[in-house]
Amino acid sequence: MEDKKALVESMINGSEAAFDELYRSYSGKLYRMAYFITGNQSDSEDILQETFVKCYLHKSKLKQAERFEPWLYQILVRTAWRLERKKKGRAEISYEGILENEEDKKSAEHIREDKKTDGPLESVLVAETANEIQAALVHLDIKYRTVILLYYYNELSTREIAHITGTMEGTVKSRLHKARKLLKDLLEADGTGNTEMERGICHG
Amino acid sequence: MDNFRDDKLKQIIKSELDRVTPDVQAENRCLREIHKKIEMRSGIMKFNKKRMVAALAAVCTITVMGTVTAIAGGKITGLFSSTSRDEMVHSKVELIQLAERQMGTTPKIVDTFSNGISFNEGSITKVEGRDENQNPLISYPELYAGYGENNRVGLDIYEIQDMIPQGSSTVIKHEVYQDITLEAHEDDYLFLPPDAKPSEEDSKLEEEGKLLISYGSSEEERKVYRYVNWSENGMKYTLSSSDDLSCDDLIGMAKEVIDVK
Repeated sequence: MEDKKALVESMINGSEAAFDELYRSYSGKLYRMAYFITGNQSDSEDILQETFVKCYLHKSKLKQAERFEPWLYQILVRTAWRLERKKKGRAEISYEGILENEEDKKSAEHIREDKKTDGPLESVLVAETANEIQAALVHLDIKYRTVILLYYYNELSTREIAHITGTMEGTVKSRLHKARKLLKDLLEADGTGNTEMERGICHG
Repeated sequence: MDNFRDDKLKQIIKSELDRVTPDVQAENRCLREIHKKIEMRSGIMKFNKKRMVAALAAVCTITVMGTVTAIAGGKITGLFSSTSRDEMVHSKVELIQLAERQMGTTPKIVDTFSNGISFNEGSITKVEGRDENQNPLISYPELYAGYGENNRVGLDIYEIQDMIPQGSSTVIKHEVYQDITLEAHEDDYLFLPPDAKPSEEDSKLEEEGKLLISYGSSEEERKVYRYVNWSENGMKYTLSSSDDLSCDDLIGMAKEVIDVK
């Protein structure tokens, strides 16, 4: 840990060797994170590169070396979101956008209520294979996938996730809750072969 | 969601992601690309920092170059230079001596303009003109003189380089003074935070070449960058400012530079 802190400090002071070493030690994890968020290799490479370019160019803004990791995650997440916005444009509807509209929110709730009974997710998780869960994750909106990623893969607290994503902690908790629910719905819908309606709600 | 379900989901996500592994070659290729981009962007940053005068020192990246526009491959697409604070001199005499040694010429430099704006500091920097692949095509020394508080006015002087293309900025005003043609230009800049998205209107203006968008400032800021350039005795002079000085003000100051004996 101390070694890493020293490396980060060297990088802040302009050491390219330290930067290269940090890249080698974080690139795998960050690539996986980008892949989880975007779902494709080409975008993941672009995001990885952009994250490290920004990391080096804005290194002077990192005031505490020990905050390097969350700072890097923050750059990655925002770069990924920005790329997503660029790719999708404004025409696409996000689940979150729909939930902000009261009428649609009711419809979404109605769709979910039409599904099987709201049993615990536990039973679904146990029943489904990892591949099915992975496939279901792809259908979640990028902001929900990000929260799931940071919470389950990076094992960050909702407070840390709020800082990284630039949102309120309450929003993170709410997204986490909704993401779990959506995941459950998607898995259930998949089981009944009724996925089209859900895909209209959450773009993948 | 209780612990069991959380653990299960965590386990599935971790095991799925652990299967995603970029190969070493891809990792090294990425690192090379990263260094290339860093070099390019920090070059642009340095280039524009100087061009935009110290008043805009917080700016990080300019996406479109000011006076040198992107042109076909094999030609110069950008100018790169870096200036260290240690290289700055604080007297006009010292700067002229440096220019004589490093540029082989005695440039015209005003000490204090009639509007009261005085010489503050200056340096001679090595400028590289590079093609789109970052290959250096030319290299030459350039004099920079900063005037007034925070170097609100900048004067750049370099030997005329045929390979540097003409800029695309709109000429606001032409004036001939002592047989020398003075051209005043104006560029609109929009500075945005790193992750901000320009409005549709601004994006359209950028596409039309009417707005230069830069990312990296802490808040949205609009600036008009004005400059006057002219050539004399084989040297190119550019007097620039990004504050409230008008093109007429800059032309008046340029005449004072021309009048230096």
